[in-house]
Amino acid sequence: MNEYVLRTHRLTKKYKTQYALDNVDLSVRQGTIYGFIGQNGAGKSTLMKLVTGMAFPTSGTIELFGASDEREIVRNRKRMGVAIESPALYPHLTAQENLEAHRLQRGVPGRDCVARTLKLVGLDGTGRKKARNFSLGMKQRLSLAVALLGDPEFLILDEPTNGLDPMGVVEMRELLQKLNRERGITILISSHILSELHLLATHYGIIHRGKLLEQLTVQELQEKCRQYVHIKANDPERAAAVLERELATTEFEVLPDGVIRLYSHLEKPASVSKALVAGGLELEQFMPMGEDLESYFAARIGGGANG
Amino acid sequence: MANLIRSEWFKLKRSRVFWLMLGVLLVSAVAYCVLNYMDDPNDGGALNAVSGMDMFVAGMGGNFYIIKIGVCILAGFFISSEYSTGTMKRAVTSGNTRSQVILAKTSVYLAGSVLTALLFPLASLAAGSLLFGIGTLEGVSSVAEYIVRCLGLTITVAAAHAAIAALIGTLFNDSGKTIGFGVIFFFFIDGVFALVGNYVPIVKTVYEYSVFSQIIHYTEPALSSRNVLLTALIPLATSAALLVLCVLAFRKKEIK
Repeated sequence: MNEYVLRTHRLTKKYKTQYALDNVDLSVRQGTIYGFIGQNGAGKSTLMKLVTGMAFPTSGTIELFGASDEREIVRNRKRMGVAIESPALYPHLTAQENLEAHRLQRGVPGRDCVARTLKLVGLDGTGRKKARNFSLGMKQRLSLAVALLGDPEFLILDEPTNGLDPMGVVEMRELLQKLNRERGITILISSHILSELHLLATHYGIIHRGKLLEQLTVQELQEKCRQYVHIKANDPERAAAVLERELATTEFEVLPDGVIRLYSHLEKPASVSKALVAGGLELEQFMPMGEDLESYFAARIGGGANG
Repeated sequence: MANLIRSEWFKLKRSRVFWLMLGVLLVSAVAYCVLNYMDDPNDGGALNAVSGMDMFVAGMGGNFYIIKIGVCILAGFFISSEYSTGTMKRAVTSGNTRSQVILAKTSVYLAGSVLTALLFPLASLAAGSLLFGIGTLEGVSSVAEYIVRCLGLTITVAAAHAAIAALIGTLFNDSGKTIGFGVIFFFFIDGVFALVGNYVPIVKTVYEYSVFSQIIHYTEPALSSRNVLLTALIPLATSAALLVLCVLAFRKKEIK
């Protein structure tokens, strides 16, 4: 059994003069949920398209379920379920007919899997309604259902929560977690909703302008996300002076709105508040906080994140 | 490969465009026969068919347009639309090779095109024979032999035109572009050959042995055995060559 479901080595995709992917070494371990993070145009979809065979690499190699030979990779794609970009459906067919067409295409035996999969994604009651009349959320579910046909071992999902309402997002997350937990399905997922990804992924890859900046586990991310004490006092300048004088620390920053972020003394917040109050300050806000995935991602790519 | 063909056949059977075309052709053929039956040439009527064979010949004549337009419409909706709906992405990630994917699709598409091409003359023959009786045809000794020959050559000629449209459908990502370009191509290609043939004699010869010329002449009652053979073999060779080009084009194509 392979430890890695997917590995790329120096994978590069160049369109004319522009690199969509630049020497990307990505590894997705079996049984993990790999959150793929990047801005629009960072290269997420391009990598997914190369792995799924929709596009061809300029250079570099792809290893899928341990195979790097092209024929083996094509064969191993039967073990994958894919939903990339907009939901790929036959608009004039019903949900059941869409699944049946894909079931035949993939050679999945037994028609009963169609009803089972529709039930799994909550579309078992759509009857004769054509896919063109579905809401975007229903189309996303149907697209996921198509990807789940044939019990894949590896799911590649590009923005699967696009168009889902808040409850739909939660349901999608719970479904993916269940598939990962109960069936051991490995998932490579990209999403614009980083807070949602934070609740789902066990591993992360951050891509920016075609370069994979970092791969880390959820534990590593937690360690790297800086923890601090959030302080809002009536006189920020005096509060800063107290911190320097009484606590002998310069590991803090004063934000433009007067909020102080203290990165030291995280284990002893009581001593901090005591020193500030003793210095004659009134504390309006005082709480331990930490960076989330969104702010870590923004810091990592060196600017504001938009996706 | 068998799975892919079953899947494509499943989709063709549920294609509204395919059934709409078949429906329009069937109704048109029957309506044309009824009009002929009701029209009296002795009373100033312009329609003068008096037998099922007359209707069959008329149907074969109209089939020239049906083949050229029908293959383009079907290529647009059955092949190119898969790019715009994104379903072609699923096909290439299904664990089948690209060659298998496009061969299955074009094979079923060719079958659909041939069915479309056969319907109008067959329906004309059937409706005409019911109304008038099958009758005879001047210059044809065996009616049955003529019908079989015409239908057989309709299959080969339609398949060749469909293979050309399949290549256009494979190259374009949009059904509208495929239909537009295909129709323009099929209706202007004769003129282009004629124009270039005036200056380059070999082009004229190539045209005479091409499916573009054959579609005009293949229903002639006085077709020699040699020409029948050529009208069978040239479209088959054209279809095979075009399918190879479809495979090569699709293997290189990046799915957006």
